[in-house]
Amino acid sequence: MLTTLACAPALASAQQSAFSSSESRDLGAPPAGVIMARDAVVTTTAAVADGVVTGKVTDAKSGEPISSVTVTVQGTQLGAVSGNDGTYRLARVPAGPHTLTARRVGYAALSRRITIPDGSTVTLDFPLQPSATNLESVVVTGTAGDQLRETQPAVVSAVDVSDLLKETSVTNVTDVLRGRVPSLQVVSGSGMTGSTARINIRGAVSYSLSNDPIVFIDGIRMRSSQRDLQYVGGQAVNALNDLNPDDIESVEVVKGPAAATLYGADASAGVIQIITKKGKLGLKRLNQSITTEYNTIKPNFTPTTNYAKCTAASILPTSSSAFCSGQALGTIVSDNPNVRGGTYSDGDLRSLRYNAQGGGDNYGFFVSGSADDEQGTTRNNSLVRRDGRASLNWVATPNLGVDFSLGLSKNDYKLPNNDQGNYGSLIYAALGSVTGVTRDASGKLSSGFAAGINVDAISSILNQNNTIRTTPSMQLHYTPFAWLANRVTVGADMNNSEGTNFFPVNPFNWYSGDQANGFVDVIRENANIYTVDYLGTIRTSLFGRANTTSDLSFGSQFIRTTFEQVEGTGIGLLTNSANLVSSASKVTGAQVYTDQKSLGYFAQEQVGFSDKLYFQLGARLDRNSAFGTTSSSIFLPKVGASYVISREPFLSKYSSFLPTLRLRAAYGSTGRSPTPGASLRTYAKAPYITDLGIIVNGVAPRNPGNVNLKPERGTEFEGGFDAGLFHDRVGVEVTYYKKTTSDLLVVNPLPPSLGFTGSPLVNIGKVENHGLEFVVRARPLDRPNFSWDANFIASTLNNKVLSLGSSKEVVTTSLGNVSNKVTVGRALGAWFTRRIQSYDPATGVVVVGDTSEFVGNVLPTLQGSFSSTFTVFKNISVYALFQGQRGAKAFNVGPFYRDQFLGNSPEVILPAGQGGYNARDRALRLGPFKTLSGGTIGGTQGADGYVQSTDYIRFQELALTLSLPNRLAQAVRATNASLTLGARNLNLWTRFQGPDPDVNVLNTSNGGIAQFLQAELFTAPPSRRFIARFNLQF
Amino acid sequence: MTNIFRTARGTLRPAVLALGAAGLMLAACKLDVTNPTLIDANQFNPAGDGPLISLSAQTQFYSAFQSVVRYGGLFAEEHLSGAARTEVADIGRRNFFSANQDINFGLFGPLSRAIAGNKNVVKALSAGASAASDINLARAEMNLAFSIELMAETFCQGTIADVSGAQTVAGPALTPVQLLDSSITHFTRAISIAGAATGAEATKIVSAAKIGLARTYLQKGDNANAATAAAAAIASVSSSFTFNVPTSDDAANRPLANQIYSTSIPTNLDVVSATYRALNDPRVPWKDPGPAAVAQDGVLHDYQQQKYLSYSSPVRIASFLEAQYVQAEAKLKTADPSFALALIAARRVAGGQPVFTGTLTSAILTELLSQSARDFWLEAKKLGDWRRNGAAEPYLSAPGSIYKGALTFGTLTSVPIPTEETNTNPIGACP
Repeated sequence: MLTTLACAPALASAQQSAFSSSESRDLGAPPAGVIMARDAVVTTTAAVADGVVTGKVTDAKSGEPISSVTVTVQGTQLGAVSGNDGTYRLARVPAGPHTLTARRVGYAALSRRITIPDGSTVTLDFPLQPSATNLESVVVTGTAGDQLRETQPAVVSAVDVSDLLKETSVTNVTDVLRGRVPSLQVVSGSGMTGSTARINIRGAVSYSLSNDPIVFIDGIRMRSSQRDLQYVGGQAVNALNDLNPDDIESVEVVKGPAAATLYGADASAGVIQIITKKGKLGLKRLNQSITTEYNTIKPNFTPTTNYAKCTAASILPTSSSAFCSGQALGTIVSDNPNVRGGTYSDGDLRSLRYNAQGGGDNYGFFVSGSADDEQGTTRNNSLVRRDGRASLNWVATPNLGVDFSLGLSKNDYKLPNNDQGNYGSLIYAALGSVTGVTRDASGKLSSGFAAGINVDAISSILNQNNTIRTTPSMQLHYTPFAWLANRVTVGADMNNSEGTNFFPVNPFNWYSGDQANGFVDVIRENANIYTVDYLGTIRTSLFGRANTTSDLSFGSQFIRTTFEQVEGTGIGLLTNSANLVSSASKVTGAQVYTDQKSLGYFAQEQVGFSDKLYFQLGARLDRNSAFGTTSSSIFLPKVGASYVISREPFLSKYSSFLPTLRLRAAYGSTGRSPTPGASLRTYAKAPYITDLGIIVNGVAPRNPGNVNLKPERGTEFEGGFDAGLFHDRVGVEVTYYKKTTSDLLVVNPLPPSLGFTGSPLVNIGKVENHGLEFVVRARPLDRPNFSWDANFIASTLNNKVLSLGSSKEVVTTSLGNVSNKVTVGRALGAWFTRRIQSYDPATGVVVVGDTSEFVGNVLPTLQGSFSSTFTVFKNISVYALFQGQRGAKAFNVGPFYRDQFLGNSPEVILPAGQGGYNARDRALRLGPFKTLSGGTIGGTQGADGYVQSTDYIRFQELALTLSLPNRLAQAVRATNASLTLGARNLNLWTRFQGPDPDVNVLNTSNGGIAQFLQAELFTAPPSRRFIARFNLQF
Repeated sequence: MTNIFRTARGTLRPAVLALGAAGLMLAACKLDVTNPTLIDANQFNPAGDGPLISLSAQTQFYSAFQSVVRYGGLFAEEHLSGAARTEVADIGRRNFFSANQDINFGLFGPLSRAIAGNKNVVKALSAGASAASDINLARAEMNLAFSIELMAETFCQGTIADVSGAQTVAGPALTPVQLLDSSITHFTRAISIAGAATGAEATKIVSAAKIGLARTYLQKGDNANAATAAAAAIASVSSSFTFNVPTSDDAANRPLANQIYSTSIPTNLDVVSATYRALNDPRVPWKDPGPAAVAQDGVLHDYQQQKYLSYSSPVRIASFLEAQYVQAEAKLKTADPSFALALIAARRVAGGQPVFTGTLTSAILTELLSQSARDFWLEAKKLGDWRRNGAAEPYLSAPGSIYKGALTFGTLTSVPIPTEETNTNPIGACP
């Protein structure tokens, strides 16, 4: 029997999932901006208690079906996801009245109330209105459970990765974040495949500790730090990129203490939460997707050429110099060993990815597998990744759900020596002697690299890191009563790595020292993080008023991090096949183990008034083993308010122009803990040797420790507004933030005369970051056959050290006469050098300052991006992303070193007018120098000009996606087929004189001043990629 | 199947509650962890193990001595830096500032650790019942004395930490003479304590300390005491006596290896200069590995020293020969050239040189220093010789002359205290 019933005439919107923040609001007249529900169709099918709800989700404007819309039943664990045709099905819905809510990014949420008769099937459609504000979407990060964005006082940025991958050319997780989140800076390590990038959010909050945000996958803390590959200079691989972006549904970014309080005393640099794809409850069929991708990877630079003038010895007829023998004295010759030897060439990526999503009435599953084989731009640079993920979400009863998830990945990286490392191709080429290049009997030129090595020698060095990563997790959701929700999360991120550094035995005397006769170093690492997390949420009405809601959340989080490393080194091998450590003539070993536990309790109360005004008050109490078991707990409070003022009647007259306006403000506190054992007074192992040559273990004072050590404390205020303009076709988000780190952990440099090899951390000083974030999302054009979506993101940053205890400047490191300093009144790691004051053309003398002066910041003061998607005939889309920054400087060390020490740059060797420096420019770089006060000064001055602006605009991404006609898809029994052609790093506009400003010479350093060494030092710049991707869906 | 799901559902609710309770229980657990990577000071009693702490501190001195051999040798031009690293090249051309990181890395830091380490041993063992004849204490006194003496030879001024209290605190600026006086005190104690002890090592410490004492008096300019101390050493020490840094080729303990070998032959960082190559003296052995041999910097040819041919080649700290040199110089400066002329004659024979015919005191001194430079090449003697004798010291380039490529020698004659020290211990710049 088919019965049609009328639903309640006016239903509230903005309902939440089982863990959302508030009960349904008053069912009277809907507030402004809330979408009203329509009719439902009820079909009674059987005389059983539970019913079924089915329906279709469509775009209210175009009528097109919308996939991946989450439809939930409030107060239960029941939910479903719409399929490609927009349909959904919810089974086992208990009879009675319910509120169902449909949500998807890009659309305003729509809630509908319905009463389900016993055993009936109800048809309930959801026509969703496009919305650029996303206020009614759910965020899970930085909140106590899933919460509506509109209730959150602090901004949580989200990137819908699932949608992004359909139309862009991203290839890894850091690509996902680059240019898509305001105030999130991604700095590349180099252009080598697999090399890490550094992520900063809202500037740098610490000098001694890492400024990398902490990362969670589905609530489980994951290892996000870099895995060092020994001996490869500034190169490392990033654990974040072990993930296959195709497995990710979305990424949420919490930027600072205002939102990160509930993550405890380790979250002041921000939190990134990765939400993986899950099954689709109620789908009742299997959605499969196969994607194959091919990339061509271009080195995107030409290594520098060495120049020299022929010397008297080299021009002799008897000289072995290939370029100078028989030439006139002073003849200018040049050589480019890397180009001649073919060090860099095009690489490629071949990728095959499969995933399947499906589900039944009370379960959903997701299974994926991928294989990526990437060859980088040098022979010994590659990444082989095999990745698999499975998840099962099972709604055992309407009030009990359990999610299982298991991720497995195997990542095999190979990276070449790079940067300033031994046998780095660029630095060894720069150190090569042009006049020393000879010819062998066959007339072939010798290598031209330093130390007599060649490309074969460089390429034969193996730096490999193979990691197997296992990420199991389980999450239980239990809602015994509609007012009480519980969630328990248990999981782990287990990383088993094996790093190998291998120098082969060779007859050519390629290598020296321990590497001369075969060398192998193997490091096995177990880095595990375990998370146990409980969250409870009680939601009630306050004061007996249905429109005044209370969400009281409470919980506890325990995280344990263990790290064990065992290393074996073998020196002197007989053959390259017998290359075990134990095969070597000399064998050594080492072992490292650290253990850290943190424990936090948290509670949060959120009060909502009429679904438009929310107040939030929360706190976390934290303890960390880094401070010893006797240290006191750390109290971290938060407070905030969110006011959807556009729902006030007095603004209703502006609803066509300003349908959505939310004001928000938040204050919160988090921290950052140092490494395990940082507070202890320690000795170092220091073996001694007897007169008989016997080595015995001994000790030496290492670190006096600091029993008063505390975590760094970050506090942050942020405030701003979200606005939807022109029928929510334009969304604007503006945020001001002011983040202060006090109790700054600074390595207190002891006088070397005290005899310690290490210096203790002390809590002194304060650093501040403040700035403005600006986001505009818009659909300026929306025609049936043409639409244009545009996003503009900009953020400013003012980073400043406010105090350093009794000091004005505590730390300096130098490259040449250029220093990164931590100085009161300047940004962390700011550049200092003696500035050039004047040049006297008559004498050629250059005057430099008497002391080092500030010359620039390391962190950009302005970042921005602009992305645009044009969609034509609904099946062709063109996506472009431009990204840029200004206000920072980097030290261009390569030319500095070549000019001032090696003297082999074209500018130094060639005459003026033919590529060489004119007299002025030469003097500015090479002197002679005097100080401002008249003193004669030696050394390598004139470094001022090499600290160069890194202002740039980059054409970061371009992608053309063509959805192939259905008949073509159906020819291979697919439901959809698409082809994407794209490119990354297409062009760069910059005044930086090196290959690319976006490199960081010491990217392996997670803490300390080294993380601010924004310098180009013989580093291969970011590569350029051309991408072809073909996707089939079944 | 249905039953399985039903059973599972039935157990899930209590499981959730149990897990929730477990989570809360975890919240009550202690945060005890083990970090065996660290050696917690609370687990170690220095005074309870004299040999361990004394021999450990001795290794700190050995390490410092080798650093002075290398960096002091670069500064005094015994070898040239072929390193790509600019800081070390700047030390090699005596043209740098106190901010040069290699001052602390290569000289001040190792010497400070040796001084503080041995002072801590002296503090820990001095109160012992057998302190008057404690060989471990004697060893520490001697190594402390040598370390301070090297600081005085190397730096324009120095400083010594005060370890007498519960916390180690920085000390004031000390002039080279003050440092040498301190060194004399500790050498004297070492001789006294080791003299009261028995055994081969006690004898070695007495011998080495006597030679060190003579050297220190000479460096201070106290030629009369230097001559007396040297004579005492010569009278009591075997002519074959040497006190060496023992070294090891154990790849796992490269800090215990011969550092000059490490930075020359395997890694082509340091090369032999034209001046020393031209001496053609068997006491200054070197080789040219071939036309393709270039130093790491790509500029210098890699002429390799052959004095230390392996990681396990010992490095001489003090010797009977040194006592003879001290005596010869001290006597020469007190108007008795006979010891110097005799020594010069003997050493020229060793070097395959013709007979020396000079008669002027200045010429004799220069020749004596020339012989010293050859005999003690890369043994941390030349910088001290230069500090004492200034322009009489041979084989040094004039300020402004070419170092390598476009770089030139500077005007420094001693090493400034690094900013790492002066920034944290305001002793000021050298007067």
